[in-house]
Amino acid sequence: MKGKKEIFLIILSFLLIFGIPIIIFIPKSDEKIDPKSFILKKSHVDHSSFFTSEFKTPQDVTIACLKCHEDTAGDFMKTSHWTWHGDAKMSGKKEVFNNFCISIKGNEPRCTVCHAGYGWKDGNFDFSKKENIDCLVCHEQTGTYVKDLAGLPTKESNLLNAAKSVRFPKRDNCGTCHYYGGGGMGVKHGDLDSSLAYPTAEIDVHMGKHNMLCIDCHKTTNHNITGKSYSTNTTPQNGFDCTQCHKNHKHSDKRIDTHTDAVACQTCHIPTYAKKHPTKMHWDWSKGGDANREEDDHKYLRKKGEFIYAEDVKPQYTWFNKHMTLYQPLEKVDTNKVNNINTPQGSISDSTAKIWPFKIHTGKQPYDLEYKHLLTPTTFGKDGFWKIYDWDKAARAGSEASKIPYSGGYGFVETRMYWPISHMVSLKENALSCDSCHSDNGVLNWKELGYIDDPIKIGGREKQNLLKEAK
Amino acid sequence: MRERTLIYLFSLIVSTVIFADELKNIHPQFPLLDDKGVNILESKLPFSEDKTCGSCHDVKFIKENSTHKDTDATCITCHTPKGELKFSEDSFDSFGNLKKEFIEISAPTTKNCVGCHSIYSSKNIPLLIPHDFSDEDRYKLSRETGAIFSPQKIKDSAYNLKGKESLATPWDVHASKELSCNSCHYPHNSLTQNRVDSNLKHLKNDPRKGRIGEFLLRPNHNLKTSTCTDCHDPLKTHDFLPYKERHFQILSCESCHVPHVYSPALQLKDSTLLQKNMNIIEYYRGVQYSSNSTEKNMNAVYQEGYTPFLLVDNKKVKPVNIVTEYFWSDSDKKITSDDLGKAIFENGKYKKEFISLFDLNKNGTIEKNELKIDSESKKNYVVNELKKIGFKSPILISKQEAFAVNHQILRGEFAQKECGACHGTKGRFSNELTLTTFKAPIDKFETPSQLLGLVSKSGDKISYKNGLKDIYVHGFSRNIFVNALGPLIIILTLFGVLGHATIRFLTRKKRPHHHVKIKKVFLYPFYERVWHWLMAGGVILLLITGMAIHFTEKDFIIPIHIVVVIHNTLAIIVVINAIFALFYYMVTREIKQFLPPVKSFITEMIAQIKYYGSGIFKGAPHPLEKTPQRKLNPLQQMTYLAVLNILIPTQVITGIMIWGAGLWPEFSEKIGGLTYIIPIHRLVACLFIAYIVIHVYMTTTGHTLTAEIKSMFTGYADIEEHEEEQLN
Repeated sequence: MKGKKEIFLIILSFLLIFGIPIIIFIPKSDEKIDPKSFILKKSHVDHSSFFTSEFKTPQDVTIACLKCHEDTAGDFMKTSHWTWHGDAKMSGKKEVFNNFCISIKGNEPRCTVCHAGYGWKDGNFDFSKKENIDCLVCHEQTGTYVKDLAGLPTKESNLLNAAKSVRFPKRDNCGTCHYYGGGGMGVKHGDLDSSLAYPTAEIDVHMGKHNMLCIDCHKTTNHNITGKSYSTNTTPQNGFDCTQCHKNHKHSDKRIDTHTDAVACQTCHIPTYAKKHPTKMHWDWSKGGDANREEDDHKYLRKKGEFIYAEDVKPQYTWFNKHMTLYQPLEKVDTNKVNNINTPQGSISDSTAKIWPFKIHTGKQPYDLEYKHLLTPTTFGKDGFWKIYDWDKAARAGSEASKIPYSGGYGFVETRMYWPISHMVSLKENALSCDSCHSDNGVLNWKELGYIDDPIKIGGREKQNLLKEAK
Repeated sequence: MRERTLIYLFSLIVSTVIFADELKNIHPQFPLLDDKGVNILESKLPFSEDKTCGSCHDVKFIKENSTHKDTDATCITCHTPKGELKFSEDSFDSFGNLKKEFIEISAPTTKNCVGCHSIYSSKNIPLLIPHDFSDEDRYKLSRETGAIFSPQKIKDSAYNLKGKESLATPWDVHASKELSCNSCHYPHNSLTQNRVDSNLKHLKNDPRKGRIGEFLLRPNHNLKTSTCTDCHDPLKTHDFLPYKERHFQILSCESCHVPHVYSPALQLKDSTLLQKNMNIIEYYRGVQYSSNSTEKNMNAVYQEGYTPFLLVDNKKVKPVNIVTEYFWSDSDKKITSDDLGKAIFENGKYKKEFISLFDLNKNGTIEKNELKIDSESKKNYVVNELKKIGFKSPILISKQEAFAVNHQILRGEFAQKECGACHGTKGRFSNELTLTTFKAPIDKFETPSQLLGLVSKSGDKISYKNGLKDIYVHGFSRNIFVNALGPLIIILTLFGVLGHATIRFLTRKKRPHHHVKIKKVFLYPFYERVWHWLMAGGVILLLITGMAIHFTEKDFIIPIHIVVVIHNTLAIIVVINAIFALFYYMVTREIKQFLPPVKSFITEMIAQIKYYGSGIFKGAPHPLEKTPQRKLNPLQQMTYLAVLNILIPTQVITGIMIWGAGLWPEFSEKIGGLTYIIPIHRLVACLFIAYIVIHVYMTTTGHTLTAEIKSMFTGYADIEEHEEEQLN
């Protein structure tokens, strides 16, 4: 024996002689990028020992936070969670109209319950005061911290316990505002409601089956949370796609891949929204104020008027290139048609546009009979419609706050909002299939979308020569 | 494509663009004519299809050349959405033609076909088993095999199916992909099908089709039965599957793509007795019958569906459902249920003696589960009753019929993919299919030839108990001869070796211990040692992987399809190693080592046998000492010649045949196909095991137990120095 080295060499060469050919010949499966690998690992420092004495005001908590997290205030105050500004001049929650509660102007203390700050009670809120940032609403984990008017916590909220519990935001933190937009659970989005707190896999595959958090997709750096609400924004800037994690995704049936340049992922993978709880589809303010009518949260409220709710709704589909135009203040409305509050851009001839699913919320809301623009009635507060049930006074008060002129004559005009659907992704086996669209009673109306006929029969928009040359 | 062609052609004719929506009403207007060819508006007679349709189409030709020739189907049945032409006096224009809006004539849709052939439900209406499912004519296809051609997902159906919630697959993948029945079953001279007759291998497309007018005049209604490969090329996909060619040569696509049928299909048609309503008694597969269940509430009954039986027919595996029928026959004529009714009914009720004989629970009525001829006495009663109404000697016949399962195709992800589903003793080939729900005293079996030998003697089960006859399935098939002989050789070898070793051990003290001079001789050059150990390692690994393939059902550490790849790779390495070694021995002329000396061979061999038989126990010296010039004794020379010239070539050739069975079937078919080749490969493998046992044992017969093995590592052998060979 010449030593261990030689034996080792012999064994190694044998392994190589047999091993290399075997490895070469063994069939290899296609390498797939696991989308789960894009979920960032989250760390957490237990904060419970950092705080010992009771906090008098919520601002004290923020000051305590900023002691260590020095730069955070500056980062946070740039984000739309603080500024309520959008990505264009007249955009963002602060400026836009909608056909739910219409506008925050003149209604601040009620709307700003969901502002991640403290004390925004009228048009004079100072956006430069660091201590007014509300750290807790996103970070506390007790679930007992509840915000009230102007974003201030209720008296019952225990600030010390809340401060001790802070960590990265969970679904409930985001949901505390985003499930309840429009004045109630599931009112606004349709694809965001409290069923996502503990969803089944059928409701949402990411949050139900894989127990993912909002921030797993809405990746956040320096408090800038990615993602885009197209009701208040106009461009996809700072947004993200499914392909953020589902990189180079290939469907097992190659025919499906031929769809992806014209069909958004959401279109097939979210066959219905508002799967568990109903969402508001129509809101008619003009019927409000009737004291004699029977009230029902889902049908009629004296304060708010008449509603239509629907559950497990099939989306409506239209072309969308991820750019929106928003209704601008003072823009004239046409009383003979349904006016768009926001209009998805793109068409069949736009190669960057895809067919997207939308929740379309229609409503009737006040406009000025003379100036023909939408009004911003005050609903909340002492002059608000909810107290006095007088549209004229409410419009006058709102006009003062928003500086949108009011002639003294008001009417109601029909409006429409487009809410792109991106949550409540179904299990893949429940996604739309060929016959969902390419059959006599399919969910897509080809002619409305601009096709001459079903593309399965005469080819897609390229073959139908419907695409304009990209510039 | 079809619509596109039609659009093109019609736009030429009408010279206007016609959109698909209008295709539904594309048929030109026409008058309705009576028997004599007179417009029915004048004659007020019923309209005649022959004359009305016949004014443009060759109805006589169509009716003679039609798959539906012997049925009630008319032009209207298949070519209108609801199978009817509705019109009233206001439905005609001033020319006496039927107005456009009343003409909804088009190619048949799935809904037309399922109207007569099978159960169906559109996507949104949960599927139910219809209450008249026992209607032979209405649901023939579904009844025989369970076929349901619907785009609906199985989990959305309404009936009580086991594990339904996980079945998010459509009843038939083609239905969900917007294919209709006529996508596969189309007129032979159809213009819209681009498929070429399969004998014309050099053609991809044949432009010499008829013109549309010719097709419309005489469409050949002998509908084509397309096969999967008319549209699909399975070789282009299925990358996960080893030996694609072989699998597709043996398996029909449906074998894997219909792993389970999720709807009821006929199991037993018992027309030896009648229910109260004079219907025969039927049992369906996968339906759990309870005593009070009737066929009318099949949706409430718990159902499991059934796994089709894989029938080997003409060397091709295809899934089938086998339906058994019990019936009476008298002088080769089936006794009708009318006659049977006369025998066992009286004034519309069962005869009294019948009730006393069949009413097991004595409640005065006959339930369905009591309607069984399961004993001689019951049979004799009915035979006597039949004789009373004039039959001579009625006998009870059991007849089996196999129906191929071709519909309810599932997509790849739901298809059968596990190797163990077939390769293994617990796979689908070992599944028995229960033919009947009860045993009847059968007088005669009418078993079709393809099922002969598979149906059990009592006629209640069908199975591959005796192995597949025409094909060899790794892990499942066993050759009785090799199964016995192979292990026997190994066991005998082990006994021999152990016996020899025991005697050596017992006689170890009796042997004289004389000191011999040991001399170190360089016997095995480097390359000889390399090829030897490569060969040893390769063959042992080959044997291990080979066994893993043979005993597939025992879970091996590595998945079986990878084991197969390893086995093949090792074989290539071993063969290359053997070729190099052969080259080495040729050019160094060392090959003479393996050739026995011509003159002294016999005597040397006898001496060697004598030594191993007795000398070794007495401590006698080796009759032939190793020298660099003569390393092998005659026994070794014999053995190695056999191993190198018989065992290895046999194994290599049979191995290549097995590997290439799918690629060049002719090659292996020449000696009877894999059914013979694989057992030979296995038998030789057993001989290799025996050889290795002896070979390793013999290495212990040196001057110490491990001396020989050591010398194969170092190259230096310790050789006893003793006087000149006594024998020479």
